[in-house]
Amino acid sequence: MPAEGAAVHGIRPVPDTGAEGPAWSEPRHYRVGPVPITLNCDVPGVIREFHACYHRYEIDLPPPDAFRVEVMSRRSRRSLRKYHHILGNGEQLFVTRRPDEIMPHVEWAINSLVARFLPGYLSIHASCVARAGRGVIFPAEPGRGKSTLAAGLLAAGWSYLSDEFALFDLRTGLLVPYPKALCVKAGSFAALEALGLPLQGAPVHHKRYKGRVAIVDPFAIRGDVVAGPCPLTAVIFPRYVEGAAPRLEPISRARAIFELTRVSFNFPKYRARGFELLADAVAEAECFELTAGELQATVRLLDAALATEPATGRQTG
Amino acid sequence: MPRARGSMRFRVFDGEAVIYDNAHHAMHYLNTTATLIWQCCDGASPVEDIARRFAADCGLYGDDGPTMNRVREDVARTLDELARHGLIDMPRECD
Repeated sequence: MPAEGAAVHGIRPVPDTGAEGPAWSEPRHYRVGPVPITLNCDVPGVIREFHACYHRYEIDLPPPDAFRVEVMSRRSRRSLRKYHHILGNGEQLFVTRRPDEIMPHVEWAINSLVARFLPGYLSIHASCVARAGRGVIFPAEPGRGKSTLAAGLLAAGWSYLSDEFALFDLRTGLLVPYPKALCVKAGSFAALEALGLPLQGAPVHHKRYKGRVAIVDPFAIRGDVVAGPCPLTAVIFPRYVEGAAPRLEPISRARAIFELTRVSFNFPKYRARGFELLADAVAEAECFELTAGELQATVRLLDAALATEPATGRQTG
Repeated sequence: MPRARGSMRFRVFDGEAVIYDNAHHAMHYLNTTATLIWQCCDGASPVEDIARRFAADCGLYGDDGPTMNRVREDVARTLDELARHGLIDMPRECD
């Protein structure tokens, strides 16, 4: 195992966050897809890195509905050690002493706010990509390899919607892009680099429960990587099994809808409306369980399996 | 006689049902067998009729022997399950 801060597969460690730099900068505002964000941070290195990932989405005026994420560094009165407090909409979500934990936890704080409060969208815990205007989602709980799969497919030429949220627009039923930075676990670096993902410039951070992660700007993959709103054409429930031959097994649409409601962040908020939206979307999609093994082979399997137009389900009732 | 509850939103895809219970905010997924039986719960058909319709759907016409008895038991058990999950009302007189 490399020592803390050492490069992993040539990826540079998190730079000096400048934690001793200027005490406070002006808040910066962004709108990433449908997600409005105001970042107020007193750690210049974090601001720089966040801005490097999201500068395309910067806006001048604070959105009135913005999710407010603050990073405040304070010394403990008792120990005099410096702690970084990460707040979402004024509520303290994380406290860390490690500068290299700040950026992933800023991302985590935004995710938490999106999951709880983003209006107008039915949100599913899923990574989400597209090809030729057709959306594919990988719904899963953490640790099932959905972000790695999405990153692998992007490297293979697919387009990006999100690595954490499938957002269904309640008005149109379409999947909308929320092209947040990709969060890639250290265990996937080598496989993704082998597929050509440009991880070399991405700083490595530490994320609780996940260990070392790289935060990757999707535009570093290619300039036109982000897809527009698109219909759902495949629902694939992934499960990573080390050393397994990748396998795709069809499941029924009824079961897929049932499982999707279990990994939805806000299905209880929309109830019957959410049910109808999901049922309409999945009626036009193919549904599978994926045993994901070696990444390159898994990407090849998905590439081949999803090359054709999906058949619509025979629906009654 | 068993009757499917009215507060449900549902879709049936390829013989399998996914049901949203609006009143209790619960989701249910039924396999093809349970879906077939649930769809027979129209409030007008007694359990015996449901069992016979189910048997006919399974290709068991005119069989009153042990196979039909097993079908009756399976249908009764499924109806109990559906009632236990609040998907049907099963008034006492239908027992």
